[in-house]
Amino acid sequence: MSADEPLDAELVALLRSERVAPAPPADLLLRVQAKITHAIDAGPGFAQDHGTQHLGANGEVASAAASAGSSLAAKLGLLAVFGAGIGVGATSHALLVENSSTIVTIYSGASATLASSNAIVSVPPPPQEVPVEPVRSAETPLRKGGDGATSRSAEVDGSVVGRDTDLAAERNLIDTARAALARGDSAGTLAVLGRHQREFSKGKLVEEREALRVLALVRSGKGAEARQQGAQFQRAYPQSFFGKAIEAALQTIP
Amino acid sequence: MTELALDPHLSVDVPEPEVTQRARIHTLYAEHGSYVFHSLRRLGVRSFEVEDVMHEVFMIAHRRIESYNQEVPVRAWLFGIAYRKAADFRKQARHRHETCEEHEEAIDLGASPEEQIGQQQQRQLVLAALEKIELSRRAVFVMHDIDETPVPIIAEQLAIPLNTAYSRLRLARAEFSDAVHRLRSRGRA
Repeated sequence: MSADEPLDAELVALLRSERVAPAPPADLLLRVQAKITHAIDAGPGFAQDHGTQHLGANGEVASAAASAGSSLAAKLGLLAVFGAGIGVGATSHALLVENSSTIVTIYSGASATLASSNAIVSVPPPPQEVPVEPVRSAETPLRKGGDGATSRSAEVDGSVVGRDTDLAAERNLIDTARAALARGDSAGTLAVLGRHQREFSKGKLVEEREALRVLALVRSGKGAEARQQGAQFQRAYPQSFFGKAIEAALQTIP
Repeated sequence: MTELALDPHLSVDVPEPEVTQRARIHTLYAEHGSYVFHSLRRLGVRSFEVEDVMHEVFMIAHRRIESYNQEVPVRAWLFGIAYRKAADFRKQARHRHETCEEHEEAIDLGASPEEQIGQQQQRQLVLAALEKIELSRRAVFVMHDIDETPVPIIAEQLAIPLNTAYSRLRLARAEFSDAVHRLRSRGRA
């Protein structure tokens, strides 16, 4: 057989079937998407603190995160914050929130947390009860509003930390929900998402919460509700990066 | 050729180059995440590892996206990255004394050889047969006979001479054919 010779028809048919392989699991696509954004947002801190540990045999990836983040960080004046050693990703995300509400919508699925950053490359974060212990300034105690928003009175020199804390708590809930979904616990997923909705009704990760809700509804066999929620999601976030994963999940409903 | 289009909803408040780069990588993922997933599986990355390897592939793409040559099909470019990462993971797996035996078992084709093979079984058969082909030859075969990438582009993306690409394709086709027949024979036994 030469490279110029066609394969026999039977093999060609086999390979043709492979070209139309089914969509990967929707929750896997969501997790990878979140990891990518998380790594990009975390910038050099991710690479230095985590990338070299988890990807020791692959310095290429660590440096990728570093180079991607450093440029952004420099232009946003964040290098001093990166040096603090904690909350790197969350801080950068919080400042992006401040600078651009649209960015929040698009990249909300991957904003960084203090609690789960160690798990970002290796495995999904383990399920755990939330909230995480906040990292905050002793001089600027935080007060929360009913929707999880940080009180303006705290936003003097602790503004960034306050947003980080809320974001970390939000992220921890979302990570917990995602972990529950990954192990097939749809009811647990929906319960945690409900908690997120109560505590952070106007949070930064609403888009990801609603995406996970649709996936959990599909998994739990609530097809009609999943379709309804999915349609609402597509209307609310027509440009969402979760859109294709949602669409793929909805197509699995019998 | 796929255009790496920008998301029109991106804010202008973040400096433009970063916005562009971030939008591109996310658009790239949205459009080609599934392709990379299947490519990695065809290259022998096991199901429980594919999530981490996918992430790494797209992080490398993120770093290199500014140097992406738009004359190259984007999937061929991504495949080149995926191939190198898959090779790295296989080496690491060997260091951990783990062997890729996920598809070693014979394929059960059902009681009757004449019975039409289900799509799932066909995919299992393809992946199992691919696993029998040495990785550098398999990469050429997958790119050409599954992804339908022209051989000159394959050679460029895998950084091998053109004649080597043709040679690997020829060998891989023979190996694939043999593997399919062997697996089918074992499945019927």
